[in-house]
Amino acid sequence: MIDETRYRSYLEALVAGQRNACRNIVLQLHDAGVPLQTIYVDLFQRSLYEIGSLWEQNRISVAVEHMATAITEYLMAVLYPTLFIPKPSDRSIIVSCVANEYHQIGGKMVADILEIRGWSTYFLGANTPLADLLTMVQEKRPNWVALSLSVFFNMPHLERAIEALRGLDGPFRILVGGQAFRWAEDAFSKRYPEIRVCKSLNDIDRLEMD
Amino acid sequence: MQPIPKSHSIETLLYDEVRRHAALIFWVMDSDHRVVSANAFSTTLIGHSIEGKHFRDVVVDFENRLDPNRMAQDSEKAHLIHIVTKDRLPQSFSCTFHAIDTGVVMIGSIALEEQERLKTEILSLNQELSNMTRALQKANAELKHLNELKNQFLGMAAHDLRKPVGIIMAYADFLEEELASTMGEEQQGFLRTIQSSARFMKRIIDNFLDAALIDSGRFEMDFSREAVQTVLDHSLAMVSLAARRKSITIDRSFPLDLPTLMMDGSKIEQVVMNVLANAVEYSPPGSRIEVSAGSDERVCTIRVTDQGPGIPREEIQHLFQAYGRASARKTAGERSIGLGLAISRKIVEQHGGTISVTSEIGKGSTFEIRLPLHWNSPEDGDPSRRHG
Repeated sequence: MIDETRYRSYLEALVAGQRNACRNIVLQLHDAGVPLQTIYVDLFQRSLYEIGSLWEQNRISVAVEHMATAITEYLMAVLYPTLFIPKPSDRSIIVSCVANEYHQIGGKMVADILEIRGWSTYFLGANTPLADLLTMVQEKRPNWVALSLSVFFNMPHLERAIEALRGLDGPFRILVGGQAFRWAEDAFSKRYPEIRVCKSLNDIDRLEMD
Repeated sequence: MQPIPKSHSIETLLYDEVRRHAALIFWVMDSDHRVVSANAFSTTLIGHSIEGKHFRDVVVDFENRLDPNRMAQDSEKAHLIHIVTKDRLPQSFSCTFHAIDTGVVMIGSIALEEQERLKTEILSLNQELSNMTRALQKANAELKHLNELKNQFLGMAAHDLRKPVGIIMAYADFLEEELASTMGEEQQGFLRTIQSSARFMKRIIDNFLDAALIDSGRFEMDFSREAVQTVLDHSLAMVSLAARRKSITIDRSFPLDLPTLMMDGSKIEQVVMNVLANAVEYSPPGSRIEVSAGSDERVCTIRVTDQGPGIPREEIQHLFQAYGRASARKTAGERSIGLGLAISRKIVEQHGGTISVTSEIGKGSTFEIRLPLHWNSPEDGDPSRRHG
């Protein structure tokens, strides 16, 4: 658990673009034994949601939001060396943003958290062309394919990806997640009942039970 | 809003604002495109006055294609102009050019679209960079894991092979001692082949074990104060038989007062023996090898010079890396796996020293081992004393 004072200091430094101050807080938490998933959920995810909300309320500019995202990606890279501990795993997942979706940080957090838990993860990043995604799925034959969608208006790209994935052979299941599902989860689930929707990083805990 | 005084026209007020305050570029240039006057914002941006300077000296124009006269022919069209700022970084402005009687006027504002494009580009680069870092860290972790598995395998394989090879060597030596006189020449030849092959295999196994221990960080030294002279004598004794077989003469040149050093004597002996064995193996029959040693207040130096084929310059940099064998052939068909010098370098480095080689093709090579007299070994911070 990350205390509120520490979280507020981090958020203030993040909005002010103070990369080193953010880094110090993250490393202090990590050195104190705070689990990576807690840092991801209670610091990274929470602060980015809050910054997104500040932007929606016009209280910060889009430039500040972009800078906060870039700093968060940097901090994730700082933690990477402690992340990858190879161990035998029969669970694998491809995590990708659909075409035209440039918000990749949520998908990357999902891949990292599953990596910590011993999954084999393949993270394809932002704006992945559909053909590249399909090639990767055929090549790696994962158990799951996770598609990240932040901007609701990119839903047609997601639907095209789902239809194309359904056309492939393989026992993989599809998972979708991201901020777009804040508004569209019910409608989406009705249309695609077999597809799992994760609205938050903590939802991926349930994947482990499948 | 204050009423405009009659003495000021709107044009005058605007011009005054642009000249003194506005975040706009406003340059008046003569017919040669030298800046006659520039507004205050331009001077602040660039860091100094640009009056008298040529247009091309202030903007970025690698291809020499910006011509204010030509651009002024269509004064409605905006051009992207990059101005070199006081930070030596170009900043982009969207500028229009206007012909006047005495030359050209350039008016520009910050190019927001270009800034937006660059920002998107930077963000995308940042994403790609962090994705590549992620992939690199993952690959690195997997490589480390594979390397650990390799070391475990090497260590286990070498450990399990050592005992049977030791038994083969012991029984071969026993046969030589007890039954050689009753054997025919051909049988004695077989026995010698068994002995030399077993010795070679033991050397490989020892090197594999050492390499695995070095890689896993468990290559431990047993430091005590030992005489360099003793190490040299033991090493020379070990290679003397092989040298005699090839009629190679080993010349020694040591002073009487070689020092004692804080070292792992058996490991340094392994280094000297490895260098000496290489010298013997690569030297032609009948040649000479010089072994010299000496010391000053700081360092003890051991040199081994042979008359072998020499080592090509491009191979020297890989010579002390694991499996970095030289291309030259050993003169009596001896075999190696290219671990000896890598292990030697590690041992010498753990003593705070260096090992190096100089070589000339067709003339020979000199290996130099330098061991400091005063250094803080892990076991003993005290400096060693000179012997005698």
